[in-house]
Amino acid sequence: MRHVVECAWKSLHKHGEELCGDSVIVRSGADSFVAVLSDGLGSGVKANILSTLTAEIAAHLFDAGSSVEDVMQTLLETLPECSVRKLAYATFAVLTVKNGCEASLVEFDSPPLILVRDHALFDLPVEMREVNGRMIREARFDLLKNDCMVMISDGYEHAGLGGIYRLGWGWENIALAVQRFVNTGVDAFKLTQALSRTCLKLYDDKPGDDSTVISMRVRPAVSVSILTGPPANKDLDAFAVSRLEAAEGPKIICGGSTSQMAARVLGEELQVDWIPPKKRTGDAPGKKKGSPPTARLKGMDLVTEGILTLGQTVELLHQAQSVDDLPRDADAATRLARYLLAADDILLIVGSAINPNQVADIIRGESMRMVYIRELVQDLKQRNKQVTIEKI
Amino acid sequence: MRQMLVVTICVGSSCNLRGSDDLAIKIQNLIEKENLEGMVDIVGAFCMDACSRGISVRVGKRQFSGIRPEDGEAFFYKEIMGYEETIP
Repeated sequence: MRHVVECAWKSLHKHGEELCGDSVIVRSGADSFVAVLSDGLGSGVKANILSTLTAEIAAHLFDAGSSVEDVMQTLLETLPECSVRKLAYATFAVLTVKNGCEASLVEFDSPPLILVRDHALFDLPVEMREVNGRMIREARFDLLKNDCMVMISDGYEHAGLGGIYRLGWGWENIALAVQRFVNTGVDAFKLTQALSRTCLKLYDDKPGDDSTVISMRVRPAVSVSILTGPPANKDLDAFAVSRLEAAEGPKIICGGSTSQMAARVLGEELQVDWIPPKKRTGDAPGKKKGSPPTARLKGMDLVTEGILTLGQTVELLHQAQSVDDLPRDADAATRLARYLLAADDILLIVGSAINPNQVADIIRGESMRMVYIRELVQDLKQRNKQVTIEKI
Repeated sequence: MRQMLVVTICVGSSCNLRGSDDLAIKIQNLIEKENLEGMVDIVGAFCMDACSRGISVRVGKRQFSGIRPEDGEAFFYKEIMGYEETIP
């Protein structure tokens, strides 16, 4: 089974600054993952430019397999020199993970990566090396399932400086906090929130430096498969349904006619859940106005109406960063959005039949369905999810 | 004692947009008003293949389409209350 690195990050700007001097780049492909955190010299615009350049160059070159020497040389030659300090400088930490387990870490002047394995802090096999006159920390190690990693910028180490902590929060204390949070069983999103909130509190809501945290957790990939639209050729109906049945993860059907087609192929009864108005309030799942009902079909985890639900789901996704941002509703669109946000691998089986009753809905030669699917796919891909489309 | 009369209302994309939910709520309220609970039941359906003709409703064995939510009351008294008289 494929393992993925679940990742979330958050930056706090230095109090009074509009731009952040820390830059983060996270990219994940089918079997590769790269996270970069760079902290530029100073703060504001200058720091922002230095860190953005550094992060981009480091992410790109390390992902392409360049050596540390090459990356350092490129950075030295590229970064603009600060007129005040006569220096071209931004720290960076780069973590690349291949196939969900082979990790390689390169750090330059940034706080060390925190790794929690089996509820305990794990010492990384770090080697120090001088490259172009600069000290680099390097480590190669194998990741295990449930490993949690946290990358921080030095803003975290200094949190609380002169206030609650005389010398700042400090790496040791942060690592301990990470270990405690991880042991409560949080995911990367919650861990990020918890650390970020603590940091902000230590700074008394006025961060004295740009403070960034990237939380990562290794876990098995979650799949979900969706069938939407009947095939253009009726002879392929059975194939489309069997494709969905054979696919991994929860199985979802989006589309009224599609679900009827599936019910016919499976020889099962399709039961539409129309909830009478009186039962919609209270503890019964309140159906939002305009959100079409769901149905039940044996073997399927969710059956919804098509176009309207897809459109609403796209809207919901635009407003939510993670599952926790979704409304606590149980209507079709929210449930679909929940499945999509929780998944890493999403398979869309899209039938291209045009509903003869909805010919008016064709936009530039494409059905409404395809327009929404395209928007949906774009949103999901931006979240580093692996989306596969099979057109039938 | 006659059999339960099943009223199937389409709540698919097209009918939903035309207000089939409002129509269903209206009919549900009328069922309660006329004390017909347990005798008439509302069931949802996804698509009855008559989208272009307006909201589709099936009363027992008879199918109707193009019922507007505002005509709900007239439809209820004519076709649902009067169902037994039209089909013996």
